[in-house]
Amino acid sequence: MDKMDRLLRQLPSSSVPEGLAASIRLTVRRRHLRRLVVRRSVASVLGVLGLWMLWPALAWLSSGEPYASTASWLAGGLDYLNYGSLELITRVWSGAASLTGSLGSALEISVWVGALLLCAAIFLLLDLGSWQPSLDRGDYPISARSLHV
Amino acid sequence: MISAAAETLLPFRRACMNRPRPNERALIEQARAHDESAFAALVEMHAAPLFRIVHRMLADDMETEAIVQETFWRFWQVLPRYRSDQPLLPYLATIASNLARDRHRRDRRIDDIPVDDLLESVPLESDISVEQWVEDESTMHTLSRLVQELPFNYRAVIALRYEADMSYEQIAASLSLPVNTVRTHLRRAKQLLRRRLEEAGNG
Repeated sequence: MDKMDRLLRQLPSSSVPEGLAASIRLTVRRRHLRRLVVRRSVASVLGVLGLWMLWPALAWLSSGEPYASTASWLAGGLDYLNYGSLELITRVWSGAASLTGSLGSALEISVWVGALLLCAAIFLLLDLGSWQPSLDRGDYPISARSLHV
Repeated sequence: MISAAAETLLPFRRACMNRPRPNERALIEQARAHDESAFAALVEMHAAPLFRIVHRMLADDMETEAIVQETFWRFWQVLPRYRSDQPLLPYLATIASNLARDRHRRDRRIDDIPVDDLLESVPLESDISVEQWVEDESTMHTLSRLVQELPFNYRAVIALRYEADMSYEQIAASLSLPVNTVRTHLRRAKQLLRRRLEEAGNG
């Protein structure tokens, strides 16, 4: 080892900001919670969509009768929920019915799409919740330095 | 000043960098098993050394802290897949050095002097000797300033070699460079520093 090596090993170290470790933990916690919220929201939306797409098939299975018309079931669903007077929801249901109708075999498509959406929702929930250590505790000290994160 | 005894221990110390410390390994396993305090302990253990490594590369407190935070965030995301038989600091230093390099490329000034121009005035085999330099505070601060003026790749190699105590192979893996390139970078960096130290002394 030459002298330059020794000099470089002895270079003065920069001072570490106070509260660095605490601000790191806080940052990780915030990002983790933010990601949790986003993933759970997306999982919820996908889950609802998936269930909605699967519902005709489930209704057909439970009734034991061949499912004939998506539109009639949706219309019946609307009446059951007493949402017939809500114009916006009516338009959404009608639009969805015309979409599934235009795809041809509405029931099969809706089952496949619904199953995929549901699987995606479950994957999003399980992937995050099964292994990430929990940071959902609010006992971290907040330093002024971390506020800009 | 490093004593002769400390110098003989350096190869042993570098060998230890290839194995995680027993308490570190246990902490990693606990963190993977949902122990929040274990992760906090890992942060406490490595935040300061990592900050010093990155600061050697960037010399900016705010950017350094941002990179250190980003590094631990990325480590947090890969924690379930992290193999605890690897020492943690070189792994974190790898992430941090890549982030620092990306930041440097993004912020690179137009008037940065190309490395080739810097090396023009330095002969391949420099006969400049630093043996006469006194290891006082003034010299060390001058040297520290000169290191900050080196090209980024040279600073990165110096930081990983002397702050993180990583081997050439580890540095090469961290920076995605051939081992010989790492050795060349270090040799050229020391040549540049010798020349500039000489100029600073004469100036």
